[in-house]
Amino acid sequence: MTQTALMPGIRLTLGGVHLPGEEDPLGVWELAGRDPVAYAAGSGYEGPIWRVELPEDQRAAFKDLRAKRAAVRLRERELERIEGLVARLDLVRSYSLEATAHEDRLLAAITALSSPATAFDTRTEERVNYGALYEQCRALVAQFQVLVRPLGRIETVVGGTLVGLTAINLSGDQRTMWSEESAPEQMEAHLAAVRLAMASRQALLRLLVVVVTGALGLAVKAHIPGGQILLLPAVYRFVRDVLQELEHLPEGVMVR
Amino acid sequence: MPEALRAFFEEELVFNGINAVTGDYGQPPLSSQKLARLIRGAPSPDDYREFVESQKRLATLSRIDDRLTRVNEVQLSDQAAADAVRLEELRFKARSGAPWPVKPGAGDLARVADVGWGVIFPAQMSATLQDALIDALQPLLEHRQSQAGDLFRIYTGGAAYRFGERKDQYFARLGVSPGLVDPQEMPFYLMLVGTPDQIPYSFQYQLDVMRGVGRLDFGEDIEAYHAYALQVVAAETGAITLPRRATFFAPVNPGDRATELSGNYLVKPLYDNLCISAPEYEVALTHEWELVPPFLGEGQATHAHLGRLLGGDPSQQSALLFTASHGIEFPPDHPDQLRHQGALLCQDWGGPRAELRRDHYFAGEDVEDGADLNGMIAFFFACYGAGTPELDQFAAQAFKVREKIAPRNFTAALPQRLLKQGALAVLGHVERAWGYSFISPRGSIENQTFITAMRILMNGCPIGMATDSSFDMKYAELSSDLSADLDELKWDPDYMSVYELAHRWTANNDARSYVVIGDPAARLPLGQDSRSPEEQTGVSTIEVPEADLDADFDLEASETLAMSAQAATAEHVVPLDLTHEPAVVAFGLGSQFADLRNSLRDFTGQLAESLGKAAQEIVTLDIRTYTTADLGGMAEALDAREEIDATLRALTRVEFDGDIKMYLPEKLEGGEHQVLWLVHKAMVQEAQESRARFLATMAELATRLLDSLKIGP
Repeated sequence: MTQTALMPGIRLTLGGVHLPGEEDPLGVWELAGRDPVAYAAGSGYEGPIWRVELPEDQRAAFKDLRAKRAAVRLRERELERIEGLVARLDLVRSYSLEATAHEDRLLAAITALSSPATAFDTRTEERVNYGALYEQCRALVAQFQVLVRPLGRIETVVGGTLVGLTAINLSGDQRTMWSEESAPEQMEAHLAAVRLAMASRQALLRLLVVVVTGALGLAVKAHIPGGQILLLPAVYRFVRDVLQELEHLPEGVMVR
Repeated sequence: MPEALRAFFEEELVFNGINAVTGDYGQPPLSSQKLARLIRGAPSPDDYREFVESQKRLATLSRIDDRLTRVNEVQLSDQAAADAVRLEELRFKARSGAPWPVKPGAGDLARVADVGWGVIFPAQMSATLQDALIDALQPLLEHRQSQAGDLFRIYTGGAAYRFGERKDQYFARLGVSPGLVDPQEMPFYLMLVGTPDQIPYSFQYQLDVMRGVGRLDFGEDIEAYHAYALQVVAAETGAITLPRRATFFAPVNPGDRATELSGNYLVKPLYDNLCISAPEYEVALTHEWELVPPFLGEGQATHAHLGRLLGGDPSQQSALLFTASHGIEFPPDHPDQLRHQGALLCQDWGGPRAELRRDHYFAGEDVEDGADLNGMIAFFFACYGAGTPELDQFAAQAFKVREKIAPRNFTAALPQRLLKQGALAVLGHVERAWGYSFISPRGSIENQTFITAMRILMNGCPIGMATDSSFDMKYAELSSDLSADLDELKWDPDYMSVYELAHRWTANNDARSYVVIGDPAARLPLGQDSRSPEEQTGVSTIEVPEADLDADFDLEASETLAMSAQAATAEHVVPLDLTHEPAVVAFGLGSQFADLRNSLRDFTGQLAESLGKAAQEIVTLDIRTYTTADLGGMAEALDAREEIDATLRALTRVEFDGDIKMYLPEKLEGGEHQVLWLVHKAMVQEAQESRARFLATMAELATRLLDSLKIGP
């Protein structure tokens, strides 16, 4: 998913987390793997790390962070609608004119899994390569696991200097550390970074719920044994693609 | 989303008023088809029969004999003439390209000095009472006069409003031109003093089309007028300053489509919009605001919580409160009608067909005597939230009868009470509020009027200005369009769908009836020039809201987590066996699927372990703030899971029972410490909100994963 425009000098990275295509489905964070993000790279830390890098003059950038948080909340809310879309997906409507391209892709995946005989039908875009599918499912589950690791942290860097650091655990305890030199504006920026990171973590977890629920529902509806796992990648892609459509509309219009 | 929204129009339309005696909808649900017939003044025989039956039922609840009066030809003719004048002005406003309805060059609409301020008294009011009220209001009158200079007016004596006058008649008598406002002729901001029986709502609506109008009505409570005058002056002279904080309150009663709409399609999107400072094509917010996530639906929008927001808990009070709910209505002349009509129905009500009790709705008398609402402004989206007219306009249009719905026109008691407790103004609805007004028949959300009004208020502009470019403009446009549409429909029944007609009529009716209770030039006392340390850090000075960490919620969350964790242990999981699934066997992938199953089980197990740990630790929430000379070193220590070497500056521990303990250094002095403390408090608030939502979602995810593992091939 393409990142929405940020003012120059701002970089939002999420480290320690891998997701399909190394893309943040929320379209906010740049997934940076492990090393480029961790402040002390190469150490044993294994939780997600949200890092917000801002230019020296962070006042304008601060507004961007607030806007991003609002966008994340919007996407979390949009997930409710997407959950409904998956739940109401009409399996017999496959390839009809009314279906969106995203629905078509999901339906094709379901069709392929529910009718192995058609798996190699050239009409079906989603030819089932079980080996690859297995790898996708395994990777996806492993990626999910990172999101619920007990620890996580948020770092705010202004002008190349770390100014605020917050460590969180699953039960919500927080430890925030400031540099003795941190200015009020820098604290404000870090507070905004923490709020954005927490909103993003919440939205990603919500997305997992939608994906797992969607795959389970479709597996039952289409009578696909094991579909609750095999459909995870397809449902994940569907959710990501529908969310991506939000990127094409002005946020000011969408959130009315 | 369009499909889902459109469905609301295709089902029966439900309105935002609940009858306190019957516990049912005040206006029975209507289909779009039936509503369209009534709007066009062409009811079917069945419509008549249903109307008569409903009137018989209501008559038994009412002590008024002449509840229904047939409208005669003369009255119809007078009404048509008045409508023509009204429409002419509405069309003028709708066509006007000017951003504000004042003459070019008049100046800034937000400045009383530029556009003037006046107060209109009713001629019906006794001279004794009028003199007493002028004395009581003297602090406010002097204040406005000092601002407006020669654009200040008091309309009394021959210039007072005479009962029965239409706006055009009143203007003609005073020599005021219709159309764009010339403040020299009559100020833009006009405060009506008196009851709606003395200056009727119909006059207020029409005056409001081109001006900023409010009403001050405390009956004959002279002290209340005086206290209000002092309050407005205090707010505008720096004696009151509020943090920029807004709160949203929206019950979603079970099985009730009206509040489902207002909660999900009005309040939620409104909140989301306001979270963005400057969306395209919107009024940009000039300052950062703290927007408290909406108190929405179950467990949130309760009577108890509204009490806390309205002065019961000072830490939860906001400068701006927006509510969307049913308003309570009573049969005319019911002993509770004047005190309770327009009270806000809370989440406590179980929905249609459930019992309606007194403690389900929030009335004026529920505001505590000691409540300090100094400086706040409230916006109530609810039937009769601002007031009730004596006669129902709907029945007159549909059945050519005047239906008496109250013994007299009156102002709702809740806004009056809020103003007596220090609030500066309330924006609310007279008559029924029509929830469908913010949804188009095509299924899109049309809540621009609410957004615009809120943004203007949040920028510290007068409330009369906030309504002018939002509801008044919408009323002008819709009314002139609707008039043309109804004309066209007489000739071409297929000119527009019943859904479009129903929407246009409800939206028009809705936009017309928003009124300001209070001084229309009142504005939120937010501070104008310098930014406080709280604003610089984006946090509020409000104490950590203990009630946010509701003990019941935590208990429930803890139990849910514990159960989820327990259920997710291996012995409770039916193994998923995919190894005999035909496709799997055929491709020789049985062992891989077993691995896959195991990885998912591992994930669930990890989640269960995390949840179990969280369930144990949920009894407290610790938020610590440190400072250090070597922040980079702290990151390395975290990575290595080593003890951190930093100075603890603040610790807040939220206990299981909701108690909050704060630990601070003995010496806390200097501006930097103050900022650190403010940011710490903001972190506490963030941690509380994040934890509750995160753990609830984790529990849900664990449950879904368990479901996945339970089903097999």
